[in-house]
Amino acid sequence: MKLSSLFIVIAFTMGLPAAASAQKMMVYPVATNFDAQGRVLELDFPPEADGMPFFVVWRTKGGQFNVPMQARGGRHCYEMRNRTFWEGRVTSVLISVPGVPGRVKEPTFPDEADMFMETEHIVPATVNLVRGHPVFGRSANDCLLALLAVSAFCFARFRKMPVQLAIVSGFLVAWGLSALITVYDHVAIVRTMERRGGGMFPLADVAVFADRASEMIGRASWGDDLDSLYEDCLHYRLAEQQYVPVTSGKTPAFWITRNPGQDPIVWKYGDYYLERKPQP
Amino acid sequence: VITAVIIFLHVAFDAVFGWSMLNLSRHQRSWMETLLAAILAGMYAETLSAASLLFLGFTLGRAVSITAAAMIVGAVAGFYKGRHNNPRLLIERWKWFEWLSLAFIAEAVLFAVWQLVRTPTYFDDALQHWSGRARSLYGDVNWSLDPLSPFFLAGQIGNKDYPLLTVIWRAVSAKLNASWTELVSRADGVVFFIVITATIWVAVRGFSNNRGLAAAAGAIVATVPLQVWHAAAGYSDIAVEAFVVSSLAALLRKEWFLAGIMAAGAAWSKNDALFFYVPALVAAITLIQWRKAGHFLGGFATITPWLLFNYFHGLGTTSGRGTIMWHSEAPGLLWNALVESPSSGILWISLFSCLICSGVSMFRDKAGRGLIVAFSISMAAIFFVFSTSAAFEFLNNETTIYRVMMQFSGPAILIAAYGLSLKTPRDERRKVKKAAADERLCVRGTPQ
Repeated sequence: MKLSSLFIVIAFTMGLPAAASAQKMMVYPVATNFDAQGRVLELDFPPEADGMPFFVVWRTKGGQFNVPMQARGGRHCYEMRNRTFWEGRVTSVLISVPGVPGRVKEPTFPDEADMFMETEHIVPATVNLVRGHPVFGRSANDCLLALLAVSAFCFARFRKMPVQLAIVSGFLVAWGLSALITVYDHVAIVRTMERRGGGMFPLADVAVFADRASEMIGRASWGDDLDSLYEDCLHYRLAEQQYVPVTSGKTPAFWITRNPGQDPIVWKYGDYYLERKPQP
Repeated sequence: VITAVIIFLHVAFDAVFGWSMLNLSRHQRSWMETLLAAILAGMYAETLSAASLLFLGFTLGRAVSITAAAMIVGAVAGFYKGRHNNPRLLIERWKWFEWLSLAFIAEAVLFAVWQLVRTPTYFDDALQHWSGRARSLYGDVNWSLDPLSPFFLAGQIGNKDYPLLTVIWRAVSAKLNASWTELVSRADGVVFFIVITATIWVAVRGFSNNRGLAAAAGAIVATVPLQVWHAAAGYSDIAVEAFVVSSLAALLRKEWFLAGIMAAGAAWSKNDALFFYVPALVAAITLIQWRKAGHFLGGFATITPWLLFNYFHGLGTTSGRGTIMWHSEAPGLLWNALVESPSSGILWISLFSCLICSGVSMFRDKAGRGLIVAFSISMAAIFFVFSTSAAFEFLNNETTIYRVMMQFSGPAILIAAYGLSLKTPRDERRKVKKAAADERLCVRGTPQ
């Protein structure tokens, strides 16, 4: 069953309500029409794609959802079971990278171990919640609590500690392990980002565009019709240049858009355009 | 490198001013406690003074110059008047577990610094409300104090009802640096991170005299998984946490006025503090020593210029709808957020257990009673806001809830550590308190 690739509108931020419109992106099907219960995604990325960010998009009766992920070179499973809307009948699951064989499967024990080792990566939602290391699709907190209990028992039984001190010590053991896993994540993030470079997904293009546009706009005025995080990134980077709100009724000297019109384009990067507006 | 040096000097300037003010009267603070409170007090004074001048119609440049001049004069006068109150520098030999805690903290700081140096401002609220508005203020073209302008308080890029501590501090840093950089945009987060960690460490050491407990508390707060991201995210949640932790530490030292100033600093950082922490701190001081509530409120009243400006322009304190409606899914979602989330790991279930275990001792102790009531009020306020207001949306979509719990993690760890410290036998504790008091008298060299 092979679907053709298609354009899809991506609301960029995992877990946030979909913006009125967002980024148009080409996505490619991996699987269609399956029950999401207990299933994960398995993708065969080439080794050189290791660390590359991409989107996973899926559709259910409830709507279309997406999540930014980071490729791992080779055949690896990608945890989906802890995603809020990964449930019920999924009509299609797609990814934003072409030519990557993939499938949906019920994970084996080695798959579970492999997914546990998948490291944290920086996405726009990281500031709100960290993904952590799910165990069998569930939060690792259950395992940490079990470790706390076992450690406390050992401290009480073998080190003859008072119960309360043993529990506190057990907590420190479990917390220490979780802190070490966090350090492991930090090291992996630094390694991956230093190796790959290329800016912050999915804002790399708009950032490069905005910095050059800022030089070209200079002391002139600008306006735009971008939306969501892309708009916020652009407005932040051009905050020192005179902005003309759409509601003001004035015509800015420059216009930034993804859908260029008839006005002369003076700078383009990715699918962002800087147009010079004729002044009345 | 130049920006880093300038930011360091900016922090140092605030710390020097804060230090001089904090030493105006006799106190029992250690040098580290004084330094940590001084950094926050200086940042608060600088930004509030600059904001007040902006409200009066001065430009940012003029407001910064006048504020800097006033702070220099104040610092010189403060150092002269308070020259006998300077705490002496005392450095102890560290034990192995303290080095271990420091290693975890250092790793978090290094990772935050790496983010500052190697990544741009990336997260949404920083792009809009905090650094977005700060850069607009610095740029001086997309900023206005005319309420009819679309650029009023940079409302075209962020929420204009959000307070201005980080906004002004970043704009001033950019002025000093003569340009806006990505380091200016977020570096204060690392300062707040260090202040939170060190304040908790030193405060726990102060009231428990237990070096292991203090080192553990410091390391735990530094390794809350979401915390290190906020050290470099450019958000103001970490600033709120720093001020609330500092306010609690001041309460435990019986510095009521300073506690009020720190509570005001939290409200000056983000509106959340007005709902979640200020009522709790007022309740705590009422229970600890109600006669001193006036001192606390006096300190808190320093935020008046902002509250007046806010009231006069009808800015309000929340951008959401003001309707109250019960959401029946909220308790389950909150429970999941507290227990299942990797953003805080097993922190909350452990803290609840700890507070339950030490609850009786806490209620028998005057300060403990105040602290556990403060914890309960903050927790109840968080529950109320997320289950009955439009903020339910941010619980349901797993966004702000974790940030609020992160803000609260520092104060909660401090309160739980106080509860644990009460579990040591009473006689021993009395000895410990006496030893600590003797040590402080020796350190200050002012026998009574």
